[in-house]
Amino acid sequence: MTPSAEEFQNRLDRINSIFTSILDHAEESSLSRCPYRDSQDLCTALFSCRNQVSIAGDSGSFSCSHNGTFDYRPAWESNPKGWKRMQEKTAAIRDEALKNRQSIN
Amino acid sequence: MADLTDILNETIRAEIEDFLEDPNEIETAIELFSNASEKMQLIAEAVILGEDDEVDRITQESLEEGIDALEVMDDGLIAGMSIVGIKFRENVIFVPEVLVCARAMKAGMAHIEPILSSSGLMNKGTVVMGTVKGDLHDIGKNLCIMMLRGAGYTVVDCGVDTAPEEFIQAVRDNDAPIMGMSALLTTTMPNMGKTIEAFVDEGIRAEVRIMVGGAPVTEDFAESIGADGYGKDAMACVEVANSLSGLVRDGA
Repeated sequence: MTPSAEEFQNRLDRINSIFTSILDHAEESSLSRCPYRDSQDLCTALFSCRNQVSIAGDSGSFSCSHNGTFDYRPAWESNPKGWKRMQEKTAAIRDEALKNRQSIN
Repeated sequence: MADLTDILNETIRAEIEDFLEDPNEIETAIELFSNASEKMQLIAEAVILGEDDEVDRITQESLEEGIDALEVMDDGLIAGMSIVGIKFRENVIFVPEVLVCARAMKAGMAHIEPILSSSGLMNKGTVVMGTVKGDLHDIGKNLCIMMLRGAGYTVVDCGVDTAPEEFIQAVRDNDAPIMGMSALLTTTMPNMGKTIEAFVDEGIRAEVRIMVGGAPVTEDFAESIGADGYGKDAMACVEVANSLSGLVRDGA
């Protein structure tokens, strides 16, 4: 017999509650520990970071050298001054798209 | 009262013994797992170890044998994920491991979903998610995906460095009414605008609600590029998706 929608909803609510707790803790712990750093202190990021240290004998892996005493995020965020450049680029993309559409019509 | 030795599965026994500290949680876990069948313990073990192939295989096998879907969820998938949540809270494992375990649980949930639909529980819809072109940051996106799946959405993950045409293809292939884009860099944020313009050029912008997010992204920026929604974090992502799917249903 197929369980009722209510029984299933109850389970989905439990899953959601587990995930919500996980998210809360992730937010809290991310202030001092990079979320890309795993329990073996290896970096799982797909991008370069100044805190990455090559592991001898393993060309593909990096350990994380961040010690939790400073905000690690500037290590992988772009220059805050880039915000203006970003806005200009975004506006240029929009203008170009509009121009292209007008030329087609 | 059940005892730790009543649990047949060695890994689960060791997990409880080594990582659980709260007496209430220990008692609940022992009670739950000592009453769970060997197969359900194997599913929970595979979730805890993040072995998605195993979760996939044993869940399918269990349902084919006629084991109740609720039992698979209660004693296997949710039981395993509960231990994962406790280990994360106690800083035994961290975000990368949690995401692997959540992916393993999803492999089992994929077999439950058809039964769930036949129960009359409405599928919340499909959301295409990806990090924009040029950006390789994926933790935020992956946490959003975990939350969306937990909330009952089907999520198509385009991964990182996603070109506008890949987003378009994924939306088309999956007939997705909602799409989410993430960016962690001010240098890649313009690609969110570029992607939205590509949807306009393809003539399908009206068919999909687009939400954006990521550390440097703001509500003003989202508005300036013509996005339909902005989520400041993974929790907000679900709220935005709920509100956008409401708009889709209402035909607004």
